[in-house]
Amino acid sequence: MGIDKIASKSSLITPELEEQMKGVFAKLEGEVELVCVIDPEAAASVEMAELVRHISDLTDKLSCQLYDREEAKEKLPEADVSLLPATVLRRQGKYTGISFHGVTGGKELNSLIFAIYNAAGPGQEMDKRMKKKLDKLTHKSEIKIFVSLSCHHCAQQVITCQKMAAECEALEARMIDARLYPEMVEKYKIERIPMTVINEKEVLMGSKNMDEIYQVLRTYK
Amino acid sequence: MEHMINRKVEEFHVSAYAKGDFIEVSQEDLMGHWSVLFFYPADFTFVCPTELGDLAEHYEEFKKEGCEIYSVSEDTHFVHKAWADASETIKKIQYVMLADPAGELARQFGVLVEKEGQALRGTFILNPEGVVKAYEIHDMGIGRNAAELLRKVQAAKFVEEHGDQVCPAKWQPGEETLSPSLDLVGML
Repeated sequence: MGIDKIASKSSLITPELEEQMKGVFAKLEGEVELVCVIDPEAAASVEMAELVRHISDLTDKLSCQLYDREEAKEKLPEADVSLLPATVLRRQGKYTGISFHGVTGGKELNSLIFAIYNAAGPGQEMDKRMKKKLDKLTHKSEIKIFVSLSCHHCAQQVITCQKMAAECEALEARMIDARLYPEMVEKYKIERIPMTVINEKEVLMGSKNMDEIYQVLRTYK
Repeated sequence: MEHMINRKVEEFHVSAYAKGDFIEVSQEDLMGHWSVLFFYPADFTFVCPTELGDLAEHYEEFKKEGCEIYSVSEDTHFVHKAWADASETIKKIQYVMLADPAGELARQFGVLVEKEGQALRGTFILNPEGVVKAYEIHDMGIGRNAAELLRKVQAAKFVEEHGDQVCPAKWQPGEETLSPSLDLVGML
């Protein structure tokens, strides 16, 4: 299937979900672009592309762009095209530090909606002291959050990390549906989720609050 | 039959062989650290030294996890010593070998085959309060794997520390994407 054949409706989005999302999107202040890198021959890629297209059509604050792997290498340097589908959120042509690897179905639809809300603004409220701490982080840190779509704790952890990324230019937070990438399960010895890996070194298990995550990030100067 | 999960170890007093010495061990010695009770049928048998040797090779890893190993058979501590003297594999064992000739422990953990006076191959993982958190029982001839046991100890410890924050990973190839649910957006 070619990219241009991707449907603009997703079977995952029911009319009830549409209404709920429209309620959230009505609050959006800025515009966000959802850029999805896919393998048009892979079912998960097509599923995510349809989801992204469907959601983008619910508000004029969202736009959507689909790339195949080769196009993305040229036009989307921030995307890790080794794990497709990969979806990145951009604001004013700039990467927000928020990306998703996999299909944001199950509980992870919450993560995607929160990510859009936080990237476009107004975003979730943040403690002023935490915002000051994040503003002082200058070391580029990458946060991988390995999840399963049925895990409530996972969505919470993704939302927390991606909110921090939305507030701090030095941070990148990537949700990864480990089920889709067995090589990741093998590499990181994942037995439980959410499992958060920071800069390929520190591992946090379970859902953590911002301060607990910050305590790891601050050790990088 | 009632299962053993979350059952606390009851009082016991047995003799043991440990690194060349004879010692006494009671349920009090199992408190304050993770423990594995590793039952096997009898000294001087074939599968047993293979299993016990495998366990001996992984012993340092169990220690790093704060877990003590106790092998248990229905032999006396004198027989344990004789076996260690006769076998290079048993000689290298650093963990405590409990002697349970009266069947006190084997009976308590439901692994004693009364008419044979031997224990089934039962493995019990106890938390620092002496409570059983995982176990397996094999028939006599079916051996166990120390690496897998170590993984179970690590998992039991992990769940005790983080049990309310994580989900077990169930990677099912081909599992369909779950229908989405928006149950957190109410927090906006």
